[in-house]
Amino acid sequence: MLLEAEAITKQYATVRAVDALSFTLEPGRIHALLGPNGAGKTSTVRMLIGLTRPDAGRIAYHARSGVQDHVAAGELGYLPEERGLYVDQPVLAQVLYLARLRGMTGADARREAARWLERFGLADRAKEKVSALSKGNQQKVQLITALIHRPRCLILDEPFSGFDPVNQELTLELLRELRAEGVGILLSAHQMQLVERLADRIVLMNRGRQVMAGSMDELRREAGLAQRLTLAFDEAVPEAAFASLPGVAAVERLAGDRVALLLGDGADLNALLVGIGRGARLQSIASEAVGLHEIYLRAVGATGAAVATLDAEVQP
Amino acid sequence: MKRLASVLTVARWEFMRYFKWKQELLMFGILIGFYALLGFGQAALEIAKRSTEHRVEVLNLAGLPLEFAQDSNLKVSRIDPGEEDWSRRKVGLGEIDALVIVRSVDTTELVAHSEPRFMDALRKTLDRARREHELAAAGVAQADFERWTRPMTIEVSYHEEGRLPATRAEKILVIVFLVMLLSAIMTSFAYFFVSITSEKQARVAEQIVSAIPTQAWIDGKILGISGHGLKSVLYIALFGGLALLALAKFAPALMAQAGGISPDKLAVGLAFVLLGILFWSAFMAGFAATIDDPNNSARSTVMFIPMLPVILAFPVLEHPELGVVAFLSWFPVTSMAFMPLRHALTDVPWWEVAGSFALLALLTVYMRRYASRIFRAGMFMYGKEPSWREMWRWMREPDPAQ
Repeated sequence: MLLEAEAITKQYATVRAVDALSFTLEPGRIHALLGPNGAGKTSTVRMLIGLTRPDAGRIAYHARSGVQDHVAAGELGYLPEERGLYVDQPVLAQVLYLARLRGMTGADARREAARWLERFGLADRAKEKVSALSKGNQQKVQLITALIHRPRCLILDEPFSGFDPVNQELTLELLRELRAEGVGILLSAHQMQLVERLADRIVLMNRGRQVMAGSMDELRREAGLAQRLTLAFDEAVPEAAFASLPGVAAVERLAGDRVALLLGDGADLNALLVGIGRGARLQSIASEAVGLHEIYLRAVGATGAAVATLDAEVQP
Repeated sequence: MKRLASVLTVARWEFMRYFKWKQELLMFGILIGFYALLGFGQAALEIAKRSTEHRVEVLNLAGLPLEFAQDSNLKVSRIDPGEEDWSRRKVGLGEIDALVIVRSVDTTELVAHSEPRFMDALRKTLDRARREHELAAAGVAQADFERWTRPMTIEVSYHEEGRLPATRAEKILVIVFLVMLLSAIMTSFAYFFVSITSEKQARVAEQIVSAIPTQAWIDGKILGISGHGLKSVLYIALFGGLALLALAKFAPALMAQAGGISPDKLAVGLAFVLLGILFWSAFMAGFAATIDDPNNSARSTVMFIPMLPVILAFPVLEHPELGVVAFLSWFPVTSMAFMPLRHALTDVPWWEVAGSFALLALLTVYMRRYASRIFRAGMFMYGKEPSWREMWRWMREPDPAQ
């Protein structure tokens, strides 16, 4: 065990930001905290790294030196939600400074900085000011400052933010490497597809409380959703025509004459296809396992309309 | 990472953030150049004054015993009454600088071509001639007159249990301390303001505070940014030293007094100045974290409070023995300016110096602790400034990560 949070609660003046939240993080595992704005993710992270203390509950971090009530600073790699770099300072100087604050010696910091800057393609820009870098490159510098001292516990808030798809994949690969090396990683991100591909365990939060938790399979089971069928017709078909079909848990209207059916676990596909075939002329049909996106939206109580809107935004 | 190592890492970073070798050398060069120009200008002026001759014609109608000094720049020609008109014309043409007509014992007319820069020498000569004339008329010998008008000699001695008055050099020393303190506070003030408000706007706080305790961060900041204040003290000492070298040539008496300043006055003054810089740095670090937008915050004016003790000290330089000065030399918010003043200009028992220093040191420790608490909370408050009540609450809340 690396990190345990047991019924932690944080109350601000009029808001209970975190309400009896419990989870664990083991070495060599990636856990994701997901939730809408105001769900309590940042408040949780701030308690984990010792910026604030829980009003109730307990945090136990199993450091090399013993159990502590927050993640030990020297073993923590942290990428905050609000990006913060000294933009008027050179890249290398800044990386070295933060590495020294994490306890590295000067020589180690210089060696590791050279390695990481090379890996992220920033070696030739080491002496430039941070302000001269693009947003994506600034994000790389921020990530390097979180990783350079080889932390045992990595807490990343939106690690993919500002990255193009290529760099998102590189980051994904990097986090898998770190997991393989035994680093425990807790992350929060809005890129559901990436989280789904990466996380061993996901905690869905809403209004400070844990709504669901588990692996993707466990989440699907708990949500009662197994598959998503995307149907395209040659004419518009009312959603009501599908709502009563066997095994259909939810219906989403997509762009054009398309409809998505979310199917529950153990839905009878034969009976369902017969029902679908009775209506308008079907042009195509696609099936995939229900993704985190659907589970997330249903878990945080989004309306059908919101589902359709967000779907159009996230998966155009 | 050990706390001290963190503090030193932050201190080095904060100092080097604003320390640019090129700028420092440039400023140094400019100051040296300024001093050189000043010295050169003064020397050139002196040479010009010495080499300028004032040509004056004198018509002595009163018959005064005029005797002009031979080494003076005043080149005097005596004329007869018939030459007056011609002499006036020469003044008009600029061929001579002036015509002096001594009409009577009491009245002299001066006709000048431009502003007469030889008035002192002329007046001295006229006054002496007039006095000699009057003394002769009264039948008084010159030697008798000088003996009668010689000032009374007062022999001053101080009782062995009394105290010697402050010398001019000691007063100058106090002014140097006050200027050092003021300069260091103003320099630190500017850097704290820029450093902390920019960090707040760049959102770097979480990154740092997740790595080291807030107290270590603020301690490092206080040391690093105070370093710029100390740098200004060093520059004052350096250029003050240069000024002293120059003074050694022109004011040997003052230099002799300076040589008599006891080392303990220097040591006490410097110790209070250094601790005072740290005290106010802690204050400024904490307070700067509560300012959200430096361009629009009304709170910026509070940052000028540290300058008050120094400004208050100047008017009492001539009255160091006042009771209020004694009080302010103990009061920790003002002691960094008033105790060096009292100690340099009066006799202060050692226990008073030690007590005042200990009190200031104690308050500095508490100031940095409370500043750290305000800083920790203030750095995470974005978009608005905390109320005074909130700040008071923060001061009483210990840092969970300590």
